[in-house]
Amino acid sequence: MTLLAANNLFKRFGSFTALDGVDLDLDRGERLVICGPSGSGKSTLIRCINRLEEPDSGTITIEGLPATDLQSLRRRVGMVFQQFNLFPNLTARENVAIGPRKLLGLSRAEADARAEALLDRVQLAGHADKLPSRLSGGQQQRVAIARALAMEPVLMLFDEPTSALDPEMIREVLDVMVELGEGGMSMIVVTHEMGFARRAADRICFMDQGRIVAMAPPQQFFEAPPHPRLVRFLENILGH
Amino acid sequence: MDPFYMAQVLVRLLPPLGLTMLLSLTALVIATPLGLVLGAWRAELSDQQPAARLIDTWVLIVRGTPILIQIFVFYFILPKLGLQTPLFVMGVGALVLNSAGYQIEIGRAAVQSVAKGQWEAALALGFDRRASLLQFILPQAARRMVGPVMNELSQLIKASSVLSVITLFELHKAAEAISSANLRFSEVIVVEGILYFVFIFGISLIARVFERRLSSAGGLADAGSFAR
Amino acid sequence: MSFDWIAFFEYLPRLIRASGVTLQVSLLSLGLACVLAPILALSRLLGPTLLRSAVQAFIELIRGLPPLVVIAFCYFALPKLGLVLSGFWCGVLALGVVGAVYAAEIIRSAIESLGKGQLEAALALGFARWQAVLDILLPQALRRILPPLTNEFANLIKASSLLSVISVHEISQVGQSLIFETFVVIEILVQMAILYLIIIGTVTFISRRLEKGLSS
Ligand SMILES: Nc1ncnc2c1ncn2[C@@H]1O[C@H](COP(=O)(O)OP(=O)(O)O)[C@@H](O)[C@H]1O
Ligand SMILES: [Mg+2]
Repeated sequence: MTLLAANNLFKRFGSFTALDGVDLDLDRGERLVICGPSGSGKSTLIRCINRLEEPDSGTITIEGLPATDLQSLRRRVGMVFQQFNLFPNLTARENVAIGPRKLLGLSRAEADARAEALLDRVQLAGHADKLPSRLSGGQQQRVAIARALAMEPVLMLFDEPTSALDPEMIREVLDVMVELGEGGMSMIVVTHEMGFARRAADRICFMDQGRIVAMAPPQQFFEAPPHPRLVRFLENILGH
Repeated sequence: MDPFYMAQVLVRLLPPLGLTMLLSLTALVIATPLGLVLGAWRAELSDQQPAARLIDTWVLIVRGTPILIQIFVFYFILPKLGLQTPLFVMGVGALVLNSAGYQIEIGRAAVQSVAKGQWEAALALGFDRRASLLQFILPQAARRMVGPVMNELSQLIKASSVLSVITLFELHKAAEAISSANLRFSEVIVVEGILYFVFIFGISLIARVFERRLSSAGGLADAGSFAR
Repeated sequence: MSFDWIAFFEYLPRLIRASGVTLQVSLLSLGLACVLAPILALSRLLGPTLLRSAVQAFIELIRGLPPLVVIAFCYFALPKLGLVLSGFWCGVLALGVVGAVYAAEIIRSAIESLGKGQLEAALALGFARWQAVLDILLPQALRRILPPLTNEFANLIKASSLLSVISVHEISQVGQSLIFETFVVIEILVQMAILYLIIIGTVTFISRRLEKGLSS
């Protein structure tokens, strides 16, 4: 059953074409990994899905409906950023609770309870009262995941969620993401963590110069890369 | 220099010093929220919108003319309009007009200095721009403003000295009055200088402490700017 | 209350002449500030401890005083110390010193904002401390110094209005006495504001251009 359908997306920044006719479908519960060289348009693509960028042309529907109202679209689509972007003046609990409280109309107690449960789920039970500056990068990113989940989204977007992390913290974040996918969450993840892609993705797509040039299930993607540029990319990234 | 005489002067200068502080604080308390709100609003407007033009013109005129001229406008024009305004109110009015013009820039810079990612996180959660600004951006901007606003208080104290020109009886005027009565200008001016210095330097020390505590992102206070 | 164009043009020449005095005072004090500021900044950065503290104290002192008080000090107190100056030169001295102190702070913070890395790299190459500051740091800092420094010039022009209290015949003083002479208020105030806006606007415009030009 199709959750997301993006057709023929174009996006230019000045004379530079960041998205050059992208089609993308995602089924409910599906986990898609996007990889590709820097500047290939990966961020632009997923930012178009929740309309942090406005595509120049093309259509995007979620659950069969085009987005009419920006805010309600964004409430149904969670996003996790490379730089975490936690609100620095709020504790971990408040970061997670503020969306449900202000946007979904939950009472403070309800929102706090939801926040506690989610922080528990991302292994941060004891850290609810800390400000982001007191948390490690990996912990901050897990709070950010909990914050997005608190809105009970139908789709989660991740934009290189582990690129800003020290190596020893990457694992804890990826584990949370794997678990999330196994729980049935629909996810689009931009990442270069090929181990994660192999372990958790249903499909992997490869972007280059604003286009999706290859798309395949993990096994085929790694063992019989369907595009010469992808072969070179994998050689570089896997260090063969 | 006669220490005994200087002590006498000091005592006589204390009440006007109180007036100076009261004047400056009152102006600050009115001008700061005005500056923050208008500055934040301005940061959201495009250059072409009428409200943006209006705010920009205010800032341009306030920054482009000496405060003395702005004080003259209040002093000469209000009576012409038939408004009998007490000098204190007139002084506060001129200082507010002036200070808000500078604080609009402080507020705007503070809002714009909040990382883009904060906007994106709020928008991605489903807050609209207005709610994002009020809920997340302004509180962070306000913390960054603490240092600059403390500085603004010293600026106002300095600027209020200019009000002596329109005979508002505050510190500098009082000093002038005493010295012209007794013809001992130099002692009076030294005492006056000490009083100003103690207050303004004290405030700047406090401002620096706040600055260090609150804005790890680096202060917005500028070293320069001594005249209004 | 209507705007009297005849009065406006009748008094304009006198105020334009006064703008000349405003410009003269401001430019001369700028010149003085430009000579004093690097001396203050460098002695604060490089001088022996005693000199450093003395300069720092002097800078803090002036920063803690309203310019009006500095002007009054030069006008009323300096003669007692044996230095008698006309109102005009008194103004140049007072504004020059105030301007120099703020400019020195700009220079110092620009040099310090370069960070330790540049200084350490130069010291590691074998530069002496003063050589490192003069040859490596100062040239880099210059592009950060120029825009705020032109801005300080705008401040000097604004502060020159205060010289009206020691009867220097600049815009504010001439305007003020014209108002008291003629009771033409609005027209003269508008003229004063416009003249300042033109002068200060020009300087600010140059400062912005420098900022853009140097940052790219
Ligand atoms: N706001 C923007 N303004 C101008 N160019 C942009 C903007 N955002 C992205 N780009 C350009 O679009 C291209 C694709 O960017 P992005 O989608 O971030 O790539 P990726 O995430 O794959 O590294 C890059 O070359 C980038 O410079
Ligand atoms: Mg990217």
